[in-house]
Amino acid sequence: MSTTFRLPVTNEQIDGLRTRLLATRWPSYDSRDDWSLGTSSDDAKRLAQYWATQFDFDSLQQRLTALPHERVVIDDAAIHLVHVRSPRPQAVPVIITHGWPSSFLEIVPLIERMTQPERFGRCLPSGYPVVARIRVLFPSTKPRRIYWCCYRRPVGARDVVARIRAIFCQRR
Amino acid sequence: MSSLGYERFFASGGDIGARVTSWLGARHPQRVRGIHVSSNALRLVLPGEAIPTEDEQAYLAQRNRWATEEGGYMHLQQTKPLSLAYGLSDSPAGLAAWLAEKWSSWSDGLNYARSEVMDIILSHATLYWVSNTIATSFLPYFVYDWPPGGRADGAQVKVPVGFYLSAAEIGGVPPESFARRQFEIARWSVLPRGGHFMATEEPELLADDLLAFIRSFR
Repeated sequence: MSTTFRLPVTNEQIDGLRTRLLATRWPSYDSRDDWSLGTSSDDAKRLAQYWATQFDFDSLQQRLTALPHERVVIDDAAIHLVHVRSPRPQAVPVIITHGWPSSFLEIVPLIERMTQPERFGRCLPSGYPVVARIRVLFPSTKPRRIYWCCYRRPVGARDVVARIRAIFCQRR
Repeated sequence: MSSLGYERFFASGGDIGARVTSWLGARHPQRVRGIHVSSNALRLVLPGEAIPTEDEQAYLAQRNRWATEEGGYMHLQQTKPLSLAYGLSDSPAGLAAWLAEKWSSWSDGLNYARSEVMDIILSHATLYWVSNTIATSFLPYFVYDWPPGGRADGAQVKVPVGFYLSAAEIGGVPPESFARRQFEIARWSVLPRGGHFMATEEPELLADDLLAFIRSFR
């Protein structure tokens, strides 16, 4: 059974994030717009400044609230997922998994086009409806346990699971 | 999917999602009707004693160059993830810069001069930050070589496989022959735009391709 789930981004967290961003100590080397050594200092600073002063956290919170989050527990591990149901009765289920460095938000534009094609001027032939759903690796509410159940280990690999848990898992 | 009440379903994903999806196809053929994946589902070796074609050799050489020039993050996350995580868990500017490099170099030209691009990357960064999950997001790298391995053996995937590819994806478009040595391929789509983050970069193209793949089952 799955249960509904809220993914909170609180005002306290946002305030703390802004404080840290504005207090950033930058490397002494300024690469300006040169990316050859990694993210350019111009863009790193542009991102930090924008995140602290212009990024619309309200809009993100609204987007998160609008998504149908659920949680399922599989083998003692809690999995956060976004379960979007198609309004079409004969919809075909699809499980979509994102990668790194990313989150379930990467897949939302795809899901919207599959479940609400009219909104984007798309037309699905009748009889071919689709439900999209996401399985999320991370971020998650209990990330320390997440890997284990996404790659289900065969019997006999319990030592691998044990090692992962010993290193990364903090029981709540 | 059982918890959600779904008996049979399709599975799709890019990046590590493609690897997870390949395992779903390999392990659950009675449940999974078909898988739709990016080139990340491909193993970067030739099976058995296969002799590579020129194109295949060139592709593998290109992937090796990519690993040398762009893949430092992978080695670090695979070997000393926690050493890296201290800084990124404490500094949101560091976190954003770490993610931004990948989104920039793996995408089809996403540019941070555009505020909507910053909104995309910073939405992800906000989720990583508030949930404090950058450290654990390195886990798939840390255990990559552990059994059963990151990617399923294509020969073990008995359900139909659709690949979606693009020139801007990491390593570009692999030779179809290289993929056919590993998987029995039902659909092979080279998309004209988009890169590693196709679901965000070109959701229309990806939705069209995924839907076309699903429709082919009727």
